[in-house]
Amino acid sequence: MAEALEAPVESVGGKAASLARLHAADIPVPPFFVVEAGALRELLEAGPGGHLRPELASAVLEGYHGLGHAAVAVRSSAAGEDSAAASFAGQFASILGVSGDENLLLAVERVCASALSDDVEAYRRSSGVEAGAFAVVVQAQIFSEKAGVLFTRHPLEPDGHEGYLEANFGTGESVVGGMVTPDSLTFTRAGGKVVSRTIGSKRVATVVDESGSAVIPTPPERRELPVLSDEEAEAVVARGLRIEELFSCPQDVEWAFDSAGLWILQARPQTGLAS
Amino acid sequence: MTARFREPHHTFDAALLAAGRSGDGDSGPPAPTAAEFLRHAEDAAKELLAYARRLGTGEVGKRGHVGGSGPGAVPGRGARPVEGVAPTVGAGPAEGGEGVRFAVGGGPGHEAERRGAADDAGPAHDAKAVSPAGHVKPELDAVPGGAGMAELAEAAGRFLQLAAACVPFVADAPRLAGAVRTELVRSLPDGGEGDAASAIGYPDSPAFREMRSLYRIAYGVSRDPAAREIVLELSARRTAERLSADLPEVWRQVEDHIIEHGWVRTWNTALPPLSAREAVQRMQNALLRWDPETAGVAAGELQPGGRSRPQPKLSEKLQPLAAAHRKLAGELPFSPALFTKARWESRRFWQAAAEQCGVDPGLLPWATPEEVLAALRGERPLEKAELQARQANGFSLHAAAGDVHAHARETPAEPEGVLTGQSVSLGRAVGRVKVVLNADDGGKLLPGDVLVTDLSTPTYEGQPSVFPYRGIPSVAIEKAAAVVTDEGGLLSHAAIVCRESRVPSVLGTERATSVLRDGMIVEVDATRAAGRVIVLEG
Repeated sequence: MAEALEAPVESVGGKAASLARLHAADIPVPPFFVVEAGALRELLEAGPGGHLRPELASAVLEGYHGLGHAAVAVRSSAAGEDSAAASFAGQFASILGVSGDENLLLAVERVCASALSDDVEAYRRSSGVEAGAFAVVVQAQIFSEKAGVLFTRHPLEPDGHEGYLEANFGTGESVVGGMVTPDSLTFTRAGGKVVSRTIGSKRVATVVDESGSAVIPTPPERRELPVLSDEEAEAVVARGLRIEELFSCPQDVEWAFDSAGLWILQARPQTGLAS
Repeated sequence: MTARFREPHHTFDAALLAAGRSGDGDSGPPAPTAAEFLRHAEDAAKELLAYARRLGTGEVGKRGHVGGSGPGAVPGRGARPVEGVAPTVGAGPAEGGEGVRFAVGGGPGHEAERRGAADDAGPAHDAKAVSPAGHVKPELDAVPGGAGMAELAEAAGRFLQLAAACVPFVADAPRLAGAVRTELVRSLPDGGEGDAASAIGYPDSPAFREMRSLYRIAYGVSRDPAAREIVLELSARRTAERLSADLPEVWRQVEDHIIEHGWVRTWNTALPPLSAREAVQRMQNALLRWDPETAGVAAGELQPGGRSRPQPKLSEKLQPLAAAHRKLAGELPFSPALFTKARWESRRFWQAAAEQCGVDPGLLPWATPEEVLAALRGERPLEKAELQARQANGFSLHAAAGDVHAHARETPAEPEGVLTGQSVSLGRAVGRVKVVLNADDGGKLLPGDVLVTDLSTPTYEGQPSVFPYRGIPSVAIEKAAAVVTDEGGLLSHAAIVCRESRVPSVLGTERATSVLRDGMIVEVDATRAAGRVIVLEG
């Protein structure tokens, strides 16, 4: 992680650079390492279906064993991916709950292949973002009990005084993927006080364990319960506002609670604020 | 005329099918042929609309005098004032007052403006938006004393009589359209539903014409740098003002659009007619996201690049049947839109009638024809509280001893054909529904369509679906008029992509994919946090 902190965005990508900064500011992020863009260039140029070179594969596995976590999440970290102009939201694959050497290498290759898809290319072209370096983050998997997304500015009223948070049981993928109508709350940007809360219908949850990830229905009686307690909500809000202060611009933050407490999984500039 | 068509439905089916197989004019059963049916229906509709227009301009009434230019009239385009559109300078209250018998201040259009203003940002701001600098809003005379209750009652009675004469056609047309379509599909070479739709063509419905007309103006603007700059860089209010001042030709097109099509969405919904500010806003929404070619496709002026499929050609025998189908399924005379339009045309008359009955004009459509006539004849006053309850909660009809009575529901109900969800990307759009549930569906999305999808189905790996996905190129999202989903929150990837692409979107409707069908025309209203999807035509 120390190396990632030193490394320029062009070689580790936006996500890894931001995780490194969070870590340096003592904000808990899951342990991670980065497969740098330079190392992956050859694989990307070979096109879909390519394999990691043996030296690179062993370097990746070395990093994996060094994390000390059997299960990891493999995510893209591209330059331009998380810029303030275009988020590339969901354009690259993330693979959760990966464990085992062979599976990890496959997952890295698959995340790379997602950078070559037509959709990604089209999105990049239409958003005017240059095709940049593409790195991969391997992050210890958090077995989250509840998770979600926080925007430090309300996306529909970015000039107002409030921020916005969404939450569901399980991992945050159900919120990010729009698979459910989640719980939501608004909070004051100054002071982080919760202003309003709604309970979403949250019919399903995405869960992850050592065997991988799955989508399961949430029992009806549980759907009506709030995902976050008041204290938890305030903790996430306070963390989000601190991250905005750290980066000096509005942030789009993915967060999760596991038995150990609150983790920040990623933070990036909030998009769509121009108008 | 009406009696003739009050016959068992199957005679129409038989006659139409016979007409389709062997052409018009063949000897057959004594029931009317398709051609006769269409002709009579059109006659009935024309008569109603013509009368409605005369009522609206104050021509019908005491002494039946025809006014040359009523207050607020737009010269050269008939005396049809359009609220929400600036009338030409100089059209003042005093001019031509003689011809306006029933006109009073306001009118359904005014009512609409008030509602729109209350809903939106600021009332004063809004009023200005639709009445650009220096232009005079139509201020209409009070009801002249001469046009008394008796005349109003007589005119209203005539209107309702003409409307009733159209009813058999309205009731029978969808059934006939279904029969014709079945026959057409059966006669096509492969019988495939998809091919049939393209061969027969979609009904050219009022809502679809509205859409195409607006996009056509937008297309023209997209090719005119001066107009494009005005439309793109300013607020809807400023754009309206500048268009009326600097580009009267374009502004006139917007006015014409509202005169011709502004009433469409009031049908089957509780919405006020389209205002100029909204029309400008919708053009801005489209132009902000579209290149000229996309606008051209949406306007129906250009073919979608590389997307046009070879269309099965219809035999000469089938062509008249296809034409009959288009008319039956979509044309004005047969749809409930007829009454909406008639009411719109005669809105100033009904305004005056409402005034006489002592209720707000917006409440009048919630009274039965019998109740209105009874009130105008001084027999029984309208009950304001009951009408308000019907408006808010909906109503049910009961038939007793040959009379029909309306009763307000006790609890508010969501109007039929309206979905609610969360606006995640602000704006408003009208378009044709394309439901996309799997990768094969992605290609059918054309510019100006409304993408309807569930979002809730995970990919084969158990991951949430990535959006855009399922074979939809992400550029197609930008060209969509709007996006509507079953699930999804404000911070989902789908919401982010929609905001970045500035596509008006309502997520989390919970039932969009089960209620909406391909080809429906819907209005997606994402102007407030609580978003709505209104089915204009199904």
